[in-house]
Amino acid sequence: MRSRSHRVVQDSSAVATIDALEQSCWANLPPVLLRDVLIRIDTSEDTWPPRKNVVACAGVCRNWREVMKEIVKSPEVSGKLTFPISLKQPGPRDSLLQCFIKRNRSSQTYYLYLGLNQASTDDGKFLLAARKCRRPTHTDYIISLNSDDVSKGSSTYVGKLRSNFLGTKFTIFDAQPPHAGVKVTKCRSTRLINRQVTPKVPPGNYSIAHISYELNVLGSRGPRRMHCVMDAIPNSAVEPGGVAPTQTEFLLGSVDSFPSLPFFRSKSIRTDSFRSRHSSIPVASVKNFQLVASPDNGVAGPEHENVILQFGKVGKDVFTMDYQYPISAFQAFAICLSSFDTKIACE
Amino acid sequence: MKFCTVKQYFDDENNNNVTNGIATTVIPLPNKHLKIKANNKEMEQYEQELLRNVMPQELTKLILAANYLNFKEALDFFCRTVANAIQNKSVDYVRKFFGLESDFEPGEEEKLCKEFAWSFEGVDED
Repeated sequence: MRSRSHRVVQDSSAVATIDALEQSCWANLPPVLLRDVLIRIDTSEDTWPPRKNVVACAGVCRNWREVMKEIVKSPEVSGKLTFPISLKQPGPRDSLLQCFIKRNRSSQTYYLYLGLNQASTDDGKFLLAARKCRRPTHTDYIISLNSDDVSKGSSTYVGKLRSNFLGTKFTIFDAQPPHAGVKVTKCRSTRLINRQVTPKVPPGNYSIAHISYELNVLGSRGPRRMHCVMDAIPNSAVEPGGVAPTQTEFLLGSVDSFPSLPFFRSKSIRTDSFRSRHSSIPVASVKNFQLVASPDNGVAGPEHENVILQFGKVGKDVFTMDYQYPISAFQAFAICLSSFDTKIACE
Repeated sequence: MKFCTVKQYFDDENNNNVTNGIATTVIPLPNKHLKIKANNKEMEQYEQELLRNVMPQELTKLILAANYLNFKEALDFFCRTVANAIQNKSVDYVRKFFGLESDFEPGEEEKLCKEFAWSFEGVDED
């Protein structure tokens, strides 16, 4: 049930009232009651743009931030994107998170949005931006949280996609190492100790996935076959009861390597097989694809036919991108960007 | 039975949890609830009337009173009121409303600024 909107305090009289407020009164509010108030905000502001209020409440002070971070569940559990770190966390388990990408050809920039309205790709919450930088021997797509500042040196840089010269092999780099799922202790009293003990890894580029494209027998007229190996996700993540690493903060941590890496392959795709609530049906394009998990041993169980990512052209420079667990919005976006770059086939 | 703590309240000699003024506001609520339970619109009007005379600093006392009296509906209502009051307000406003100061370190504040910038980017005003 949505909270009824009611303003107890009008903005203009607020300042005078606030000056007279006894500080001790609210400071003595029992934690369980503060939590009750913050839970209500998380529940009622469940879609964007109002969800920005959840982020605002998490910026008031340390105590509020800890409570809010504990209340807000990751996209895997809640199906919602809240903090920027949500973009680095696995998508929902049982449903596809619907996004769309807009391409600006003149500036060679791509913008990822969370779809707010199934009926249109005009209504969206900005998530990430990527800018293509062509070099003599390779091409980089720099990915950033800020659509106005998409550069490697920017403080909002989150990673990049690098392609080889031919546009047949790609590597996704993350600006921070994948987390093993161990949460950083937030307890104040041990904060200093953690700083000394936790080994710091310098910010850089951590390879988290490799993508390769092959032509099929029809050559450039047919769909490409795409293989995607996720270095950052163990094979067990796609099996029943498995978990994928979840970053919890934009922090530095130790890098874990996994013995067995999941392997995603593209399914041959027909536009009518797109499992989506989008009202826009994709137009036929060799860029369109669906990605499913592929087992090591070649024996595919039901969990291996679950579509993890689907990408489809719906307009001249508009594409839908739907993704779910175990990949994150960032990984999904980077994989889709590779589809723009392959030079072995044309639209 | 709406109040579990009322008997104890009257038995307590030194009761700092619920002052007379607050009790006057909170105690009539259950009767009113019972009378107009079926009619949500009437209840909403009654609640708005009640809140018109309440200052923000009294809200915390009302919450504490409702909590002490174990009066779930009133507690629900007052917490909801606080949530509504800070809905769609800036971080600075919320800090001032609760009399809180930022205790983030400079590095953390910078991270927060980026977080806010992303949350408010490309989003139409409500």
